Amino acid sequence: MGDTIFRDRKAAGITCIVHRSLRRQVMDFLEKIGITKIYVEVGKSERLFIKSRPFGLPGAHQTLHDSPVEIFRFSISTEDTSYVLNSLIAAAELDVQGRGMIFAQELHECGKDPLPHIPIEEKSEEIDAKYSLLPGLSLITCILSRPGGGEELARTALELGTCVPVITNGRGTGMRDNLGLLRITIPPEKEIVQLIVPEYDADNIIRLLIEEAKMNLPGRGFLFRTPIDMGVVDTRLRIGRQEHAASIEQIISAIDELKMGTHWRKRFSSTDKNSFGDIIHLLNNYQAISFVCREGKGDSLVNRAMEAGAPGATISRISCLNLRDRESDSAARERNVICVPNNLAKKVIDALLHEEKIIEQFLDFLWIQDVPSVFSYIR
Amino acid sequence: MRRSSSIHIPVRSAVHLTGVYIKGLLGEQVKSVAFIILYLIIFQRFILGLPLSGISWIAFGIAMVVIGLTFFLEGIRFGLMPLGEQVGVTLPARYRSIFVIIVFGFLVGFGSTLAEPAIAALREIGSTVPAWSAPLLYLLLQRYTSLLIWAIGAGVGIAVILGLLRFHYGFSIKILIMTVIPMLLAVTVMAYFDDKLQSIIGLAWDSGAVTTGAVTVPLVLAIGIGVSRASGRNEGGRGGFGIIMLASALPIVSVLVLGFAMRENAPDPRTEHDFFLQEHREQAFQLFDSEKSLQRYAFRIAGEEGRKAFFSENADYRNALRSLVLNEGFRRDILGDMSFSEWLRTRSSENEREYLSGFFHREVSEKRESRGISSILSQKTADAARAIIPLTGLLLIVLFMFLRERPRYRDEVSLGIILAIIGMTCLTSGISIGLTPLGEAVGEGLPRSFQASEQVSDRIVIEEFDPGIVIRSIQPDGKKTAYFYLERDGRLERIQYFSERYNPEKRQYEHIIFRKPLFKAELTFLGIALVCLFAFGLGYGSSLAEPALHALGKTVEEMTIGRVREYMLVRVVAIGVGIGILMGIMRIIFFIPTIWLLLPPYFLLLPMSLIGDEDFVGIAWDSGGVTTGPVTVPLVLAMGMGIGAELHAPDSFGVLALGSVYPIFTVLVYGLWVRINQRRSVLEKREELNNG
Repeated sequence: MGDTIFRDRKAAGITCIVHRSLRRQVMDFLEKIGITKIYVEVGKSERLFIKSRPFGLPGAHQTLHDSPVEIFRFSISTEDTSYVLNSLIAAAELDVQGRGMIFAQELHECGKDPLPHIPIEEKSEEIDAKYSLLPGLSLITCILSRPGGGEELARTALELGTCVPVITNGRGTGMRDNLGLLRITIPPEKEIVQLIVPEYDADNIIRLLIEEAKMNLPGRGFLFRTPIDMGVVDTRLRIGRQEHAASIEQIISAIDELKMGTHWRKRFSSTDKNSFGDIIHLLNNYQAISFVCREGKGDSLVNRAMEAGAPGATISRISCLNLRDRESDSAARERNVICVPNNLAKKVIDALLHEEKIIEQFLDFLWIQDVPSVFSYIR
Repeated sequence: MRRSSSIHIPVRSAVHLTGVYIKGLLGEQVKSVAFIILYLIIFQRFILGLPLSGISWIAFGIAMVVIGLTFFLEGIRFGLMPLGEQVGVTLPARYRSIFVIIVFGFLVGFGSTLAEPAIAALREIGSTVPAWSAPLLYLLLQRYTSLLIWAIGAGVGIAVILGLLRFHYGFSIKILIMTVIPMLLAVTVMAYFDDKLQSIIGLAWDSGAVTTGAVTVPLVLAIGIGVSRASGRNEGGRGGFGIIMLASALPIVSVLVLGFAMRENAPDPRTEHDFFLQEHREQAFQLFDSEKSLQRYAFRIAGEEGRKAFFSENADYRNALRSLVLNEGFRRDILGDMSFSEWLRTRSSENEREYLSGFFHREVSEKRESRGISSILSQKTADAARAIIPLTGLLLIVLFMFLRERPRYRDEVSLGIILAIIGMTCLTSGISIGLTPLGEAVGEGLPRSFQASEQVSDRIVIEEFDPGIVIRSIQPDGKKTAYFYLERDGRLERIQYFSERYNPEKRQYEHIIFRKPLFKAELTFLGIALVCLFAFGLGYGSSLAEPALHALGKTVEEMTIGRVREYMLVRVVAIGVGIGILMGIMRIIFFIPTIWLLLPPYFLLLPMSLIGDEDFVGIAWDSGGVTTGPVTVPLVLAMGMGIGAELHAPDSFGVLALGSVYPIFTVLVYGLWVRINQRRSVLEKREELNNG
């Protein structure tokens, strides 16, 4: 590589997903502590809305209820993780259920600007009184090809009681681009569902989701899991009519706090067969390479990656908010995510960073994360 | 995007893929169009009881509409809209100056007006407006047409500029609404109090409604979304709405301003008689070039009073009437496209007919040339190309030369442009072959339903009538009636014989066809209710088929990540349009001045917009501008003109404008409902938890 502009370093990637009305609080706080560039994506989160059936019939009617969220992403140095998480939770009151979620992931970053440095004087003592930051979590990202698939998967996840799913839109490139004009018959739009689950249960939850969403059929999509260092989860899965003094999620979250972790929740034994008796095989040892560049410029980079062996990329539109300098260049960005096996990772990264002209002008940063499990249809 | 390797797909799979894809699209469009087709057919056949003639043409037209919609929507989806978005995102990034955005915005807005054939619709609505009562309207519409188009174009251009500036600087749409709309209302009220300008209020408001057609809307939306994303100031990339609303509102102001400017060039409004008098000839020449053209107008549009006033000597008048019958050259010059029988039927008065009946002994058989399919197709292709190519060309030029970029998928863009042109051609041809005749038939049949008396619908003069063919029939009570058989167009009809209609000297029988009212005289209220119901259904159904509305709906669904579904938005808007068209028809029936029905809703909309959600307000106002496109306009015209002609209403303007304001209401109400639903979820604050 030998790139002087881009520095390769370890960093903590913070993702903060909040209800749209809390946007101001988050942005103000981040500006205050000196983080200049944040990347925002819009999405929606789904919850189950419970209504009693009409005419007094027994049972309850469950519908999906969506609310608009904004997903903020930025990177900081690993020492500041705990401080930033705690103070951001305080600023947006994320410890109150239903307002949002936040988590930190360890990753490798190749970035232009130095990581924001939070001076020690800024850190006040009371913030160190920790909120219940849970360790041992995982982020499952599902990329679905069918329209409406996102809500189906979200409903499954909610009914299983996993977490509050967050749905965003994206577009996929890959084999589709090799089809010539025939590609117009296959829509490129993808729905991306993100779920936060406890780590050791993650693979089994993945198997459950795959079975429910029938993702073992070709053309449905794929999913992968990345580890989370610590975070606060939104446990308000159900809203509406409540039958008991406390909802099951409130109880779970209280016990999480008592036990200081989610390990007590382990549900599945390690070898769980699905209903047909086959074990769904998950692939291991992958890497997720995600980079953010100016909108429209990612194509040639993805091309290089595919030439080096990557299967394709999922592209989402995001905005770059430069909190210090409002007049700076265009805010339109795209976030490209590529999943490759470990042995191909270096080759792909090298190919990407080889495009010096493009990355010098248009690339914001590149993140590399470990992916312990991946599932996709394999012929 | 250059691909290094290409997968070769076997032909069978390719065909299968394409087949599945097209089937899905066609199915969707059939669902959109089904309502209006069935509605018109059922109304015509079962409620009005009219026979369906030319059913094969109608079916062909419908098929063309479905195919056209499919091609057009797909063409703009992967051809035009990505192009617009790419330009919108890249232009502000590359050229940071405001000036570039302003120039570009104006070119897009102005260009789109020149491209869209909306003026033809306005001309058609205005064709029945008499020059003596609405001189300024006649002046603008017929004499200074290019000035009118430029004024509308300038309005749209400024609108696009304002919209793009809003995205660039990130200020709220509510500010724009609060400034532009009150200004618009103020100018309208000012115009209302001026006797000359009063006549163009309807024209002004309808010109606002017909701009922003099926091509402009997706392009301008895409450009707006791109610019909004590039600026980053709008709440997380959800912006992009608001230009269309401005592009429908500002032309109204510019037309009214044009009216103010041209005021002196128009004569004062007068009665029909006064207008044609010799002493006012100089004023009349402000509107007409010569005596001859004034005379033509006197025959084609005016009635007996006007014609009598035109000729200062009574002898000249009778002379002219005689020449109309006897001199074919004179008749062709004066009447132009209108056939003599049509003139007799629609424009002549009783006295004139009586006077003339002594002179014609042979019905001049004039064949009316019906437009062939190929001529319709070629004209519509030209229209479609004219609508799409200039704007797309502008974008491509900006993209290639100024931004130095290529479209992401070049082949898709080219295919998209071609498909869009083909689609637009099929759509507009299909409408003109299939849908408009259906609408016209209903439009003409509709007034029957509430007229209390029998109306003369047609008269046929039978030459060389032999009374010997008359047969008699007898009823059980002994009363005798006389009948004869008339063979016409290959059909045999039995006609009741009235001896007074037989003229033995000329051996002619005049058969008068009456139209019976649908309901008995006392039930005209029910008839009016039927008309209103029909109007609502027409507005609703035709909006369901509007391509621009579907483009907006898909964009909204994408921008709100599926929270507002296209299906819901389209239905909500369609209900609004239905209400609007209903109001418009009531306006024609009851002769209510347009302004009374137009201003109150806008006044109500202002506070509603203030309290609404920012993004919903933008979507709502844009929905208002999007309605009234290639499907709605012809149908509403057919219906409105039919009813207007029957009732001798002064003009049929205003219906389209009303169809553009009520959807804003319905969408804002829908937005409020969604917001109330949202309140259920989630956001307790910490203090509430601690205290409660």
